[in-house]
Amino acid sequence: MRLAVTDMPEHFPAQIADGQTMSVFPRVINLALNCDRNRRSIVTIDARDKAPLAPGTARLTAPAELDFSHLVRPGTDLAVRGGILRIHSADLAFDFRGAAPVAWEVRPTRPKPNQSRLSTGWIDAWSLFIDAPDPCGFAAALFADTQRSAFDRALARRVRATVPDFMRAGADTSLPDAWACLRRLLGVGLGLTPSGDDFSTGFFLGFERTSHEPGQRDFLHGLTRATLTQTHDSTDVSRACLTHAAAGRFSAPLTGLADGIVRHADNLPTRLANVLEMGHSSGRDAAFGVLCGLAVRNPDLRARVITQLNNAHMQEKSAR
Amino acid sequence: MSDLFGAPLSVINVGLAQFAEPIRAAGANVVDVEWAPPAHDEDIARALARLVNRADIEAANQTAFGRYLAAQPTLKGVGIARDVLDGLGERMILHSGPPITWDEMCAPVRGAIAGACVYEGWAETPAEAETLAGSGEISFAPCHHFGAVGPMAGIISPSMPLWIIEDPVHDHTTFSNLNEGLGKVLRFGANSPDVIAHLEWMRDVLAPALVATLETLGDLELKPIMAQALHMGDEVHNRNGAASALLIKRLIPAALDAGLDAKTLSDVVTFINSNDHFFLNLSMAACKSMLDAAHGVPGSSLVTAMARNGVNFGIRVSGLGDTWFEAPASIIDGLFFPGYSTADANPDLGDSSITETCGIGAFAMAASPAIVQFVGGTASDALANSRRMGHITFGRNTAFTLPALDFMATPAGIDIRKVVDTGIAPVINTGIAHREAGIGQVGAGITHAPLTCFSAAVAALAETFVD
Amino acid sequence: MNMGTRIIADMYRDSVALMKISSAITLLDGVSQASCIMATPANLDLLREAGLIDGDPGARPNEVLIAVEAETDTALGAALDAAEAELRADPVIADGGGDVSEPLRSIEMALDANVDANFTLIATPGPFAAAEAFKSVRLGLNVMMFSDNVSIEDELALKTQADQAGLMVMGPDCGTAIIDGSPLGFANVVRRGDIGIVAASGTGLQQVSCLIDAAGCGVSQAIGTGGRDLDSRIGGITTKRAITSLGADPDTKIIVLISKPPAPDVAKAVLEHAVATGKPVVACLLGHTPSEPSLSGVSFASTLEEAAYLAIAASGATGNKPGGLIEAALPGLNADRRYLRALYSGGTFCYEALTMLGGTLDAVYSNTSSTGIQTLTDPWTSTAHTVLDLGDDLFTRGRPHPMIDHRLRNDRIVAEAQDPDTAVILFDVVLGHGSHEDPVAAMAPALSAVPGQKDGGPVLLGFVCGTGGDPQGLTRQREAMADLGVLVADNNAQAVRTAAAILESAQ
Repeated sequence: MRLAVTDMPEHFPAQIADGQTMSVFPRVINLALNCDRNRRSIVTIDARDKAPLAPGTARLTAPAELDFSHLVRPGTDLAVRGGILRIHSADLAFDFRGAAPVAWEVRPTRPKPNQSRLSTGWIDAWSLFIDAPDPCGFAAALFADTQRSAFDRALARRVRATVPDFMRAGADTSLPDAWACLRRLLGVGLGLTPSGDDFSTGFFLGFERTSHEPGQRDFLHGLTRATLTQTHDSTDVSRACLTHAAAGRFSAPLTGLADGIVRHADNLPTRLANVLEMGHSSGRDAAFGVLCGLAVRNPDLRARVITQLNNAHMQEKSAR
Repeated sequence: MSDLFGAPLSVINVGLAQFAEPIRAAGANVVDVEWAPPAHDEDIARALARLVNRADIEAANQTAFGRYLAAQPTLKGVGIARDVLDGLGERMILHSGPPITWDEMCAPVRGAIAGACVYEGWAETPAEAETLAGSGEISFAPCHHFGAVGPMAGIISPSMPLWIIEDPVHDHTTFSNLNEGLGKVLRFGANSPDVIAHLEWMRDVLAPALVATLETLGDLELKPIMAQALHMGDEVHNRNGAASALLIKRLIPAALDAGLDAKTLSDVVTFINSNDHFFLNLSMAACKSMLDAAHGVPGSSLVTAMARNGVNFGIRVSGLGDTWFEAPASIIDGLFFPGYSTADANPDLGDSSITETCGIGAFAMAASPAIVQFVGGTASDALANSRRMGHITFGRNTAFTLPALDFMATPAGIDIRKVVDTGIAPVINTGIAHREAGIGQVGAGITHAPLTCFSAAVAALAETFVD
Repeated sequence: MNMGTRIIADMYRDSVALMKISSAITLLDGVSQASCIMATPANLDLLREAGLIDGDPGARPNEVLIAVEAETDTALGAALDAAEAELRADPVIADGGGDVSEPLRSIEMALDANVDANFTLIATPGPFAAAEAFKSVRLGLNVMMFSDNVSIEDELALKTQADQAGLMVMGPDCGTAIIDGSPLGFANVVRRGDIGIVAASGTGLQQVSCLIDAAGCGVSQAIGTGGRDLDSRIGGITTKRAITSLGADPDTKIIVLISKPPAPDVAKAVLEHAVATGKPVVACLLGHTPSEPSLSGVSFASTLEEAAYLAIAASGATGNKPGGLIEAALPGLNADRRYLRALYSGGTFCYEALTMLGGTLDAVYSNTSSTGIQTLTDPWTSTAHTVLDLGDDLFTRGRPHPMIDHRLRNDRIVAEAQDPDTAVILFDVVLGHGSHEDPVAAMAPALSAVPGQKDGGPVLLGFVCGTGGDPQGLTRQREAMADLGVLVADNNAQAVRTAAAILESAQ
């Protein structure tokens, strides 16, 4: 079955390339392409209904019943020849010839947000986020006794100990302190994109939306640059995502949430739901990051995050 | 070691098998193409080369195939041909396959036309009817030209009842005649008084009963029934037992509520129940509906009809308008009923190959391995046929899945380019008619569409592109 | 308590899958704790904090690490096995399993089944070959067309389309190439090295690559372009692309260009293109008088022998100096015997001989044209000095090429030997894949029928184009020739010079 790709990342090697499938989901495939002998790029093929625009993603429409995970194994060789991406021994190919290359527009400056609107938007979004069922990833650390394994407990301890300091360092735009915290979060957590990486992506976005002073800009730039030096310590897929985030390229649901909070949009529940839908814990972690990033320089909002984390910690401690 | 082409050499070897061995010995990947000259014709080969992997054709096929998948053939009711077929002349008879004149027609089709003339009251006897039909007073046209299909002779005359199938997605209506059952029937050219009487009963009793029943039942989507039947051993062309049973299951409660008198109800139910092929005509009209949705996309190389008139086999292609690309119909090799042989067989006949065009029938043979008994094959041959057709189709119809192949979807959307490039001809399951009118079905078998139809279409499609 | 870990490489699982597996393993008998994570350093750190691992388990971020703490070794092993089995569980692929092989009936079908294919080798009858090549280019594949009988219009269209798509079309009528060490078509088994060859001539490519091999050097890539690539109508499209590829190839240190005389403007463009790579260039454009003195970095060779010698020297080795004669004493001749009869199976050898003899001998006749050479009116009968290309269409129509089937040449050898004017019968023997499996044995009946010189017969003079790695065996073929009384030269140029010397000494 050959499917026509609607749009694709700007620099997709549409003529000739070889590679492998990495992870395969019912409507999404992550694949690695060897652009030349030394460079590998990660591309996500997204066939979900109304798939959002996201960096590094090629979107397409596929018949409703089609399930990639019944057609392709992870780790299968693939090749692009004459604009067609074929996957070895799978009855599946993608035609990139009609795909529109998506150039990612990174807007350098945004209007300064109205603080009171941001604040009420944030508080609404935060309560929606806190009330979302089945917290997982970093968000599990916000609640007592949600951790089932020793690893989960260690992760929660790490989040509760590090995120408050990270936010304070952010408020002070103290790069060394912030980086000391962030490096303890990157690469932490389950899944293809570890929770810490998704959280950082969200944080970069949230912080960027509230940064207007040159000092703040420099701080964010320093933080993303430092992050890029450590991405080799994460999975290939996550590295690709972090690289996009560091360059200011974020998926549409994520910017939708951040911008919705900033101007206190009416449809915050939908915007948050769009983010929570991403992956299993990825959306939750990224949303948490956005909320933290937006709260950094507002003492009241920041305190809500820190208090929630501290309370969870105290509750667990007293129960024991 | 460096790679000249940026990746390790991996060779497709075309023409001389001996060249592969040194490459293999040197450690590179090499595969052999079992090459044969495409269509054995240089001009066709060059025309084909201009069409392979063209982005505009691929895009057109994507559109056509999307429409085919989106179609939702729905049984709406039963109507009389003259009332429901736009432009059907008062003295016009429709037949299966591509256009053909009375003089060229095979005996079963002539017999069926004669029967239809008697049925319509245009002639007293079949002999008189044949004279009338040859006189030029009756006009003939393919069912396909009226959005209709019919098995075997495929005769539709103005007062015959037709199934009405609507595709609400594309707002398009298709039709087929009602299945007469087995034995002496018009579609095999029989035209004796009992055949005519049965047709009259279908018009006067069956059709009104179905109208009432369907009014009670409401709209009935046909794809779910076909999909379910594929999981029950039908391929919905030559085996329709499960699909007919599923249909009857839906019809009977509605018939009971439709206020039919006891005698009518009993006769109608007995008739439907006795015919395992009752669903066939609905299957065909549903396929016609899906393929009509795919027809008429400029540049598309997908086949939207394969049909036979007992003399010629014809195909239509989505991007090539209403042109038929024809070749002589073949004699089918298959399993003959006792007392009959190939010598008795009429060449391939009927519109029912619309099912294969649609990705079911022989294309879904894996769903119905018992079918291969017709040619003395094995169940694995049936699976192989379904798989092989995947090499000449554009995609797969995820609505129709094959349990024996781990629910792989059926191959669908025959691409004329792939047929000519590979030389793999579409496979067709079919009944075999006796070459004389009125004797009926003498066997069943598996046949292939003639390749020359496809190569002629490739040449025509190439002409539509200037570069 | 027993702790243990297991690493599964190149395994990508989302957090749901990893959580499920962790939970399932934790519930097994005797297991107290278990975790299944992507092994980022940060996660390993957390596992150490949690007391599930000690030290460095040696896992990398793209690997899954299973860490288990259990009451017994048995329980530990069972838990690790269970987790690994669960991770490795094959997804259900809807293909029906089993053997799905189907003969590949088209290039597209072959590509669908072998998605990494990047090259088609086409050897179909000519009229269909162009169609298959166009298909290949449309499908994004490089092409070698062994087939001939392809029009120059098709060749130009093919090469232009391919060039636009970043692809290379070798041929039509490209008999030989060595790509990434794989011999394609009629090719010799040549060791790999740092000399890249671009040749518009099949036997030229073979001769130079074999001489390079004999000197202990090797070839990185040998790219055939087809004989017309340097025609002004084609403009050297493939030659230029091949030069670009060799220029970018880190394994290629020297570039050798081989061709029959190119169109002068094309020669200039191609040579400039080669110089631009910055690598040393050896150009053997037979019959071409270098008019590009300004092109520094290009060494011009007048024979294939010299081209190989220059390339070998650039590669840092020493080859046989060009210009020599056979070391054995030159035989005397019956004074009536005056003429050379050269019977080549390789077209470029014939051409090279003509360029060498054109200024030396009077009245040289051939079936191919060259400066100073007269055309035979009847190619089936020799006149004066006759130099024949028996691979010409004229001779191969309806029969196999003389490299495969020796009957035609055998008959001609016998006929030439019976001509009292024949002084020297010169012939080539070409080894390699695709050639006759034992060519000298195939020629033996004819060679042994030629009367020896002490019986007043002509001189038999030959050379073998091949390598020690070729299936026919270079040494074995040379020895068999010597046993049949043939003077064996190292290469064509040496054979031609020797023939000229014999004729001169007889005068």
